[in-house]
Amino acid sequence: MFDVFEMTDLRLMSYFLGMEVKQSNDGIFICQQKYAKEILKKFHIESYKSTSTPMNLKEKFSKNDGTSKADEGQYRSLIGCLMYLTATRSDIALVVSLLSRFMHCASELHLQAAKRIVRYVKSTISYGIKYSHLQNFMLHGYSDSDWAGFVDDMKSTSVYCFSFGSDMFSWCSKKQDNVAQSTSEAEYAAATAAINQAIWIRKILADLHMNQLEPSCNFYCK
Amino acid sequence: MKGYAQVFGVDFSETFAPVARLDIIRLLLAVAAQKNWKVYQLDVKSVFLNGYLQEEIYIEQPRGFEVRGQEEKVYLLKKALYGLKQAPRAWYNIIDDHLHKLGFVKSLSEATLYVKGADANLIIVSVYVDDLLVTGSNKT
Repeated sequence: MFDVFEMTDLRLMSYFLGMEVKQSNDGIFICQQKYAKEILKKFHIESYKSTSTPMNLKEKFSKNDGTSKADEGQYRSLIGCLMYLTATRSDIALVVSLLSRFMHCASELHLQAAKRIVRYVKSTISYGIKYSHLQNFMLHGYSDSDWAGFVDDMKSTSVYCFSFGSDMFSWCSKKQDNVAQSTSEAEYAAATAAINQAIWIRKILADLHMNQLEPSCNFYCK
Repeated sequence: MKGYAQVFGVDFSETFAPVARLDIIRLLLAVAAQKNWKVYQLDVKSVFLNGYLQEEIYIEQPRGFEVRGQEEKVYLLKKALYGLKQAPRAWYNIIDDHLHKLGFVKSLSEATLYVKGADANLIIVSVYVDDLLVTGSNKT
């Protein structure tokens, strides 16, 4: 292959698309600490107080919250950075998905919430994902949804995530396309999205000669 | 390069080129950790210059580098250049062909995942434009 293309052998994978990868005998650890530090610097959050949670649970975001318009360029850039950070930080995926709905009409309140995420990231900057060897290697899937959580259009938000028993490798938090008329309809929509993903993952595993023998993965709906 | 001057159906047709999903990259890492495999990384230099063009594309002579006396002539491109709309796809076709020739089988569910061999001789390659991730049970 080296004869055909001009290539560099970077040996053991250690830095890939802004993701730091540490391979050791007890597993593989990935994080985006360097990238997170760049975000802190870019948005001048280094001197801010850190927080231990990414969002205020009681807070509901909406389009017209009465506060003045924020600098849209800054807001979009910040949300864009945070979206990329979700590559290893599933803990901020929900709130980033919530705030990304206001890219076209960001208010001061939204910008404050976005900065709060960065302050949370500041206090948890070394967090990442650790994959380790397991006795029982099996696909696990989880799904959940809220109901009419988004006040502007009364749509619900689905989440799902998948792991093999150690840390998660696939997750998603997304507003549903349809207006669910009941909590069960919202849960059903979330489960459908998760099962689509599960089918895809199982196909990939089959291609890797790692067929999941169980008829279906362990699946939990909350 | 005036990629914006390209006309659909004349200078380019297909421009789609797949990239690996982050889900797959994390899945590979999780699998590698489970099997105690090491993951290696390769990088292709000037990646888009490798692709061959299917369309007939001409470029003006670069300013300052015109051939004296023939300034009105243009170049016919054989291979892709950065800025062409089909450059990523031309590269994907090349790497896809090449991996096929080496005996890799492409996953039907993920166009950037290639597998060769089985059991103790398994090699898995994932292509992210110019970055190739390689892992598998084969230690050599």
